[in-house]
Amino acid sequence: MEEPLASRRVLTPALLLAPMILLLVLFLIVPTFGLLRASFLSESHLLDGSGFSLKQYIRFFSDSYYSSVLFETFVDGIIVSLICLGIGFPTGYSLARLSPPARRWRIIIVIMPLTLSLVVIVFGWLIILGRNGVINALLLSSGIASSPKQLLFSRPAVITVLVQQFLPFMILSVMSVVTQIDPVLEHAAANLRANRFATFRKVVIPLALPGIFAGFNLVFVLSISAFITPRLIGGNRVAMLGSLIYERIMAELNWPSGAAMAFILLVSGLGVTATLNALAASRLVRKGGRYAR
Amino acid sequence: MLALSEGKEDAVSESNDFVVELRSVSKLYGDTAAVADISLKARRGELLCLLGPSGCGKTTTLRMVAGFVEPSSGSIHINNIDMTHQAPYRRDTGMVFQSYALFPHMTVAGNVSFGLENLRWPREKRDKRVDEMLKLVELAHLAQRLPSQLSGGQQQRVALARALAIKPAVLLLDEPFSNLDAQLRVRMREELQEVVRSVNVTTLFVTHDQEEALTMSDRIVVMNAGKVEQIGTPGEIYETPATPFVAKFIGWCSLLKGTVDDAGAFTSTAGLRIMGNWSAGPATVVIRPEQLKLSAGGAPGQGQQARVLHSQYLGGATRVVLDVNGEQLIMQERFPFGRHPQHGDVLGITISTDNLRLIGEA
Amino acid sequence: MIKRRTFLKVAATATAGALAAPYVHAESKKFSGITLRVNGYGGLYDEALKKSVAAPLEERYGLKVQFIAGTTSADFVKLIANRDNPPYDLFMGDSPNMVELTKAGMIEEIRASEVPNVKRILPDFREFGHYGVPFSVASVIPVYNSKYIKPPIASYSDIARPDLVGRAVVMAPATYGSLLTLLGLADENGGSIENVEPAFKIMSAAKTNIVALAQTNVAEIQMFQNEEVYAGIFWDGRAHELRTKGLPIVTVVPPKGVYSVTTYINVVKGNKYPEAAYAYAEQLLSDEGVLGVPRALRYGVTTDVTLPEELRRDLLFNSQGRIALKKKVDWEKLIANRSAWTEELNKIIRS
Repeated sequence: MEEPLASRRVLTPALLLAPMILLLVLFLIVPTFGLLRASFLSESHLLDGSGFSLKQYIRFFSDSYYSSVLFETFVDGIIVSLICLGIGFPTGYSLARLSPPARRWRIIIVIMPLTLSLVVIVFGWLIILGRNGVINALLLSSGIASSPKQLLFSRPAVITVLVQQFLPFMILSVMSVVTQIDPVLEHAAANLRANRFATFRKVVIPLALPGIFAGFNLVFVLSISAFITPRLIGGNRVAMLGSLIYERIMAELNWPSGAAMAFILLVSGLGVTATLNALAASRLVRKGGRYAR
Repeated sequence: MLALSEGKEDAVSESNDFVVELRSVSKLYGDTAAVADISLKARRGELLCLLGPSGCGKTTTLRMVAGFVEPSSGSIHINNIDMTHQAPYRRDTGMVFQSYALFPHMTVAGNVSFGLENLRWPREKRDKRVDEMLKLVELAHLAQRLPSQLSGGQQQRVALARALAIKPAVLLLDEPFSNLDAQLRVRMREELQEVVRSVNVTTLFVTHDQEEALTMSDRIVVMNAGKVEQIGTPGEIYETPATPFVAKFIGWCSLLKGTVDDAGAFTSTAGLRIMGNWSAGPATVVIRPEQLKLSAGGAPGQGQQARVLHSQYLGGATRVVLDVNGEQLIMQERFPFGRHPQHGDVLGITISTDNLRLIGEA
Repeated sequence: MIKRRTFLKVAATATAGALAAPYVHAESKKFSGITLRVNGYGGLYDEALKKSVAAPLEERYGLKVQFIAGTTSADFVKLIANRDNPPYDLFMGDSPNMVELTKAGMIEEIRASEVPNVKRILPDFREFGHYGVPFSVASVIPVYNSKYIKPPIASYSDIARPDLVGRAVVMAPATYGSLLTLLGLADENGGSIENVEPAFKIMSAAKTNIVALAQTNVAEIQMFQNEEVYAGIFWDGRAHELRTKGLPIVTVVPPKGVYSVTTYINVVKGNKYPEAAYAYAEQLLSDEGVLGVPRALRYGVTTDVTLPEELRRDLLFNSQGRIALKKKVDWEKLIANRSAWTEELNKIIRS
């Protein structure tokens, strides 16, 4: 009697996971390996597919242009993630502290921008940030500026639009973790003479760290792989690796070079998030007095 | 205990040494009053218990003292300072929460040390205090554990140590035993009482368990529907309940409604007469089970005729619900082995009028 | 330049075609039930082709044409990835795409025997031998907003003029528009496809002028419309589109030569209905068909069709003299240089 039951217990999760694994293998793992293979081709054309060469990688790393673009892409990713954290944490926290019915429609508002096509969002921003746009109209009418300012096609503009796009991910990550933190802990902290700031710093933030890091990782990864926003809002003057990859593959049809850049971005992106996560894990447990460290 | 607190009262009322004072405090949620016009004072070193059924406003009252709920009207004073509108962290209270609310990311020592860090105690003094508190609750060996690695009783002791570490003027306990199983509850009750007494801290203690209230408190505040029904020592509350609610809530009893005639005798609405010397008017009589006695072996024909409606064997005694002249009375009595009353049996009983409590209607 | 005899011959053929029409009609719906799939360029472009090519074909032969809008380069990737079961029967592509299409061996040669109207194509407009049927031509030219830019812009190189600081737009690196701009700049400054250094020098000089590098035509239209930019390099048809929106946009014809891209229709190898596909090409090159795109978008024509007055006024290539300005491009070399030029341009703009 026991044996079939035991084996079923092992089988069921495998069966439940099978569709997802199949999907991932077919549409993620296999194409990824295809891309990895392509990155080791020496020709700069998609149709020539044989041989093995490190030429694409050497080209990338021997030209300081690419490494500086990679570096700037990461800096941008970190800036976007930090701004999202700054805006998203209070929002996610306050959402989590609402009753579920009051939370519901506010969450819908948070998620709404994600349902819009990126192109629509980007064109909306073009209108807002344009020379004749809303911001410039405000600047002129309030007398802050005497002539319209060039807001578009700059790094701050790209970062602003990326923040707007990825903010929901931060808000939702923080919210889902904060809902797990018993509000009574904040009362306990207040009772133990911690003011609001100390409560936040010593209790709320440490307990919300998993959500903060999940959100940070999501926003970081989405930002460093963004390509439409830097191209349209940055007017191609703001170089991010994602748009260079897009250009290589879609415009130049230079798959090997594009694939190599994609893998460099993938591996270094994973490296950054793994480092951040390791840092997070090591700081999760707080101790007291001389018992600390 | 009674004598002790009364003695205290004399000394204290003159020096006006109240640690906590609530003056006409109300809390409205919309139109409904969770707490309606409550006034009470806790003396230094006193263990004052807020007792009442769930929803009576006792927890709201405690939370107003801690500062988590702002009163709609009235004022709250701690050590004679008006704290009504002060933030919780500015109030000199230490609270043990119903769920203990230990910080899950800190060790036991970290939890106890938390309040001291906020008070900016120097490191050495802090460590000493943490050791002292952990010794007090006998948890020194678990200082490095995380709360999730502790049993319920241990967690409660950490919560107590944490609240006491900061030497609060008043210790607030919110149903501290409700998350423990019955046996542990009794043991923890004794432990907590011992610890609280040893540090001699003024304590406000919220419970819905009358046994807890009777055994632990110096004085009890019985609350119902947002109002104070009675404030008194456990003895006063039990022996001389001020209202039918208090009588019913504290211990078993039978309540008989009726009137007192000009002769001073009470007649219940169903017609049961009890002789006495009370002042005339409508009234309610409180009859505790121990005030009913079997008359001369309980044979029918002696004293009042009582028909057994049902009986419960409790081991040491039997609780019997009786029909006496159309009124239901509860009696607790030790019957000889093999002579337990059955449904329909008729017994002869007498009602002892010594200490019989009659509550006149206002 | 069409020789008179050729013209007569072509005219005769056209007349014969017209006369033969009733017979064709008599064959009644010989392609009914067939649907041809074409990669679309989207928007007005596809609408124009539907009206001037697809609709008449459906009426005459019962042939249906489905336009699947997308980006040409992505559609091309889709095509070569599904060699055995091509997702399109006809493939529309510009001159640079033709290099890859012919290399990939995915398209049929088309001769007058299959598509008689091929004979009407102007000389030099068929850049790839017997491959592809050109039906439209788009030119990359300097444009400017005459409301703000007073001394007229006269050449590609004027993009570096100091009065345009912070006000100019060029097309994004790696786009054909960008590559042709480089050729134009090189040509005007003593360079060539072999030596584009002079072009990069102009780009470096224009760096402070260039506010943005437009990723798409729509983006560049927006920039002109919102007056983010006053001058730039754009497509001739798009400049006309801006004028129809009420902007005083002037199209400049650079005197040293104009760089253009020709749009071709190709019959995909291995498609199921070659006859129907040829019929589409034939209709596309007919007077009705070839005027469809210019009527909607004012891109140039590739045949000897007589231009109606309004088109003669609006089109860039509206005379023998203008057509003579069209520069020949070695597309294969252009494609080979694309990566290097794009990289160089990216570096110039960013540094």
